Amino acid sequence: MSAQKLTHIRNFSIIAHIDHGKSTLADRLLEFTGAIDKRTAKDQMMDTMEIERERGITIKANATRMHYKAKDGTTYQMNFIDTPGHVDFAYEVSRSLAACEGALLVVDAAQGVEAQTLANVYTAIDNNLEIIPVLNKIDLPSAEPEKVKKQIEELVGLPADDAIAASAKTGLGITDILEAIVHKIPAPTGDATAPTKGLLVDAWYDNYLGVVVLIRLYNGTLTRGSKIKLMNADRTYIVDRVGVLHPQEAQRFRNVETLYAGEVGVFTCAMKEVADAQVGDTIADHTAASQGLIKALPGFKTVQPMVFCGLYPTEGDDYEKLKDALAKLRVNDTSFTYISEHSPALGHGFRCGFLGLLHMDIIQTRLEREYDLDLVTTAPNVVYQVRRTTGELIDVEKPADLPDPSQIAEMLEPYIKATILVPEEYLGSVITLCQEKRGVQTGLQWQGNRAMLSYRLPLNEVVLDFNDRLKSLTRGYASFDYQADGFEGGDLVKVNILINAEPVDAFTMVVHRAFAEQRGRALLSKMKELIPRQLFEVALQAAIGGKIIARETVKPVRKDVTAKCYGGDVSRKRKLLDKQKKGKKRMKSMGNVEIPQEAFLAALKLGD
Amino acid sequence: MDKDLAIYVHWPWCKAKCPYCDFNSHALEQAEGGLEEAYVAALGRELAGWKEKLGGTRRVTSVFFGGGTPSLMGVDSVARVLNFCADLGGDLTGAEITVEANPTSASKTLFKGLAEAGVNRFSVGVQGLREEWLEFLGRKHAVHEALQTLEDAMEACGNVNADVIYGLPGQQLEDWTQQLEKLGKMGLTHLSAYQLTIEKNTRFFSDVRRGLWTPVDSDTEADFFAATQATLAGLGYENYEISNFSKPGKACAHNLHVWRYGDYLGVGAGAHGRVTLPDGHLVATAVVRQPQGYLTRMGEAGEALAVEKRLDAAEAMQEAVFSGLRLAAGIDTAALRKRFGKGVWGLAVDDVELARLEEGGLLRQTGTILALSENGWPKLDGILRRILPRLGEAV
Ligand SMILES: Nc1nc2c(ncn2[C@@H]2O[C@H](COP(=O)(O)OP(=O)(O)O)[C@@H](O)[C@H]2O)c(=O)[nH]1
Ligand SMILES: C[S@@+](CC[C@H](N)C(=O)[O-])C[C@H]1O[C@@H](n2cnc3c(N)ncnc32)[C@H](O)[C@@H]1O
Ligand code: SF4
Ligand SMILES: [Mg+2]
Repeated sequence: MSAQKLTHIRNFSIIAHIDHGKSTLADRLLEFTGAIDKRTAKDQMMDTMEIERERGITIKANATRMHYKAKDGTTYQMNFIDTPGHVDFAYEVSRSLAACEGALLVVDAAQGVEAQTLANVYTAIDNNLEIIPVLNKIDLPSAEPEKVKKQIEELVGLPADDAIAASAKTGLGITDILEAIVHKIPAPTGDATAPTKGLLVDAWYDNYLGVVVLIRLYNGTLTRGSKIKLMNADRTYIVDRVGVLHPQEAQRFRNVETLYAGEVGVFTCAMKEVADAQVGDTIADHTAASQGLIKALPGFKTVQPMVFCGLYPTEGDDYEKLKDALAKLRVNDTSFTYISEHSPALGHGFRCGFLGLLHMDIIQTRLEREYDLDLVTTAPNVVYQVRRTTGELIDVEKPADLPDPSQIAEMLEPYIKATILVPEEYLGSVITLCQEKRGVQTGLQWQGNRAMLSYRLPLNEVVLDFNDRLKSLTRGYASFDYQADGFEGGDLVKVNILINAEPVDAFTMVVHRAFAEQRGRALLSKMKELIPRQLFEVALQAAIGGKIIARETVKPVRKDVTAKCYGGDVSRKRKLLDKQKKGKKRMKSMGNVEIPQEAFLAALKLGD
Repeated sequence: MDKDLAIYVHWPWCKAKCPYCDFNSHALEQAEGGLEEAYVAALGRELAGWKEKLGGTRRVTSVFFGGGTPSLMGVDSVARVLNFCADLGGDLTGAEITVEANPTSASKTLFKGLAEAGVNRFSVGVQGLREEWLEFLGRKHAVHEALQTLEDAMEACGNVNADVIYGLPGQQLEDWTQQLEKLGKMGLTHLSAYQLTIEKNTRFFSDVRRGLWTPVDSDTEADFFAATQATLAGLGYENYEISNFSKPGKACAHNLHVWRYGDYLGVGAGAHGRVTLPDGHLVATAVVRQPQGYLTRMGEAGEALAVEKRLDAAEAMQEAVFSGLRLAAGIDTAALRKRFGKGVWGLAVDDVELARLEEGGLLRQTGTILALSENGWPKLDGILRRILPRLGEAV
């Protein structure tokens, strides 16, 4: 194969809210361009992981190449980059979009624009992408294309006059979409004769191929034997395989001789770990890079986990199994972190960091499903920045690790920019919720009877229960999305929970001073319900430093004795006691309070 | 072997199954011809087998006919079984011989006959003195019948116990203490007052699970227990075991022996035993539970043990502590150390916990005697969970 003329290449991705039809539309595009054989195709070809198919979310970027013979008689090479759609992966999304010249904005014509769509559209606009609005599911009787067009114009701020009415289900409008890709999305620019330079879009580990790197090439070529440098990682590799992705190939890998400037493809290069291939890194010709002739691409950053929780195996014996599973998952997802920790209440486990709540949920689900683990998850918390009195700024990922208040000059907490789309009738209660969560309103726009609310909120309040509360307040009619928005100082305090005067790490929380008492009290009263009465009284306290802000008492049990026990029963009754004993975590350090693990769990799950 | 022996004889049938009862008892309207005869013969073979295993006679200090409803046995059957026991024990002079009786199957004549055959203690299942409580408990007799049965038993022999159950849903504390007083004033030597327990595999268990009614909570239980103790103490009864009360010197010798972890044989379907063999090993035994299976096994093999297990010293020590702490008198730790080995105590009992509970006022040690305090008694199970580590686990 020789260098395609750049004018015959189109690189695009699809932006859509979950369930608006991205995967189905991708199937149709593959089918219409003859990229897949309809008889052997399954649905949702582009989703490779089980959890992706099941939840309808894209977690890893993916790509495929199609060839479309347009009405003008020319055959175009079309590279479709499938991006994760969720804000937790905002950085990955921004890199995938940066690899394209255009995007389809797919909106369900019966549902309208949702909050999640907005953030991604703005990222696309920031990356100068040409955006083609598509009104999908036009076949539905409930479709309201005119209303949705108006929404796109007013909420998204894009002209929607010639939005394409389509049905990914029936195939209506698919040709129009392909033609629009050809005519509206610009061809890539670049120089195949210049030194190689490309963007590392994503990477994953494949059992047969090893680490596979997805790349968008801007200049030069890539072929077997090319000597390349990853500029941020500062590592050199020799390319040993070049190809393009295709859903029906083994390992999705189809060999090609050479990748040219403007194209999207994959390569392998005997890289040891996926962690070495950081999303957003610049891949450059080794010689040119070494001579300082190539400038790294802008926008590279290392993503940092924002949300943390403890993960503990329900069965203590499963600790090693959990450790193995985490290591395996991390092979393909370097954005989460884990370090082993021990809690007197929960035993041995790990403190894990995630990009956001969905990311956390995905990892937990995969651990439980793919590795058959039963897990105890502690309440999530965010990362705090603490400025010590010495001036030093440290990150604190676990509330119990906060330094002594006397050593803290200032505490900073992460903020988010939230976008909430909400039907008029629920606006009042959503605003109340946001205020209660210490939010500051930054915008309010109307679209028909829906409001688009913008708020700046502390992430701490959001990880607690914001989503659940929002859902129940609006009976699921609100849609919510957010973007990280820096750190800001706050009047935050560490609240310790003490059982019989001993602090229990797993329950320590950081809260705004104004909420400290209320949260402490709520947690204690829940614990009181959950901790079985014991031989002795159990004192539960919430404290800020040495000051007790709430207390509860679990009264001692008054009667706990087998009424009849004669000769016949001894062995059976004796065994019964052992059974009751099992599953109760005895905590010698706390004056010997017996707390069943379920009680811990339930208290940690506490949302309000 | 000079260890005294108690013998428990199980009779596995009742006229009807009570909805709360998880004893090895099976409803049988009328024993078909030959069944009683076959069962008694089987008991005889079992006891003969034990005589052989024990290598001679052992002094038998008590025989207890429990059930089920042993008052369904004929006087002749009881007399025959007592003969088998006497054969094992040389004679039964001085032994306490108890028969449990249900008001639906006991008459003046029966009690007289049994007394003549050597029975010197009766235990009557009264359960309650209000018709509504008897009905709730699924009992097939009226209050006046239960009272009549007690009178009949007392007339035949002066040593009579009544079983009663408290803590029924909706039961009023005053009603309960009134019943108790009435019983206490009848001149009974003994009262067993049990907190109603919801046992698995009973109709009450499924009732409760289906939400038909709710058992009383532990605070109410505690109030009833305290009131029971106070009422009976006022009438001159000693609370010598958690659920057992007696006039001075009238504690049930058989059960005392068992709680003190003396040797006892268990014969008949489902009976359990703890016996020291001539080689010095303590074995735990359990007979096949199903009456029919028991009879078949006895017929074919001449024995019907489902369990025959040597107990190691730590297990035995734990059982001794487990049952001994039910007694007001507690346990003699020095005697136990002597019996099972000095080092065994540390394996069987968690001394650190013991000290902690003692400090908390739930236990007290006086010399070598360890007993629960008044405060600790109603919490025995919780205490045992603390002080008896799971064997085989690090202590
Ligand atoms: N009626 C109709 N249903 C569609 C259309 N496109 C997708 N769907 C259905 O909408 C649901 C979500 O589609 P999917 O492609 O998984 O959405 P994604 O979450 O954006 O990938 C699926 O049940 C599809 O079958 C369409 O054009 N018309
Ligand atoms: C084997 S029965 C004794 C006599 C005879 N079968 C009768 O019921 O009349 C032993 C006693 O245990 C008591 N009992 C049985 N099941 C009980 C339960 N679930 N809760 C409390 N006491 C119970 C009853 O008081 C019963 O009389
Ligand atoms: S309580 Fe007595 S009569 Fe009722 S079933 Fe149990 S053993 Fe038989
Ligand atoms: Mg999808």
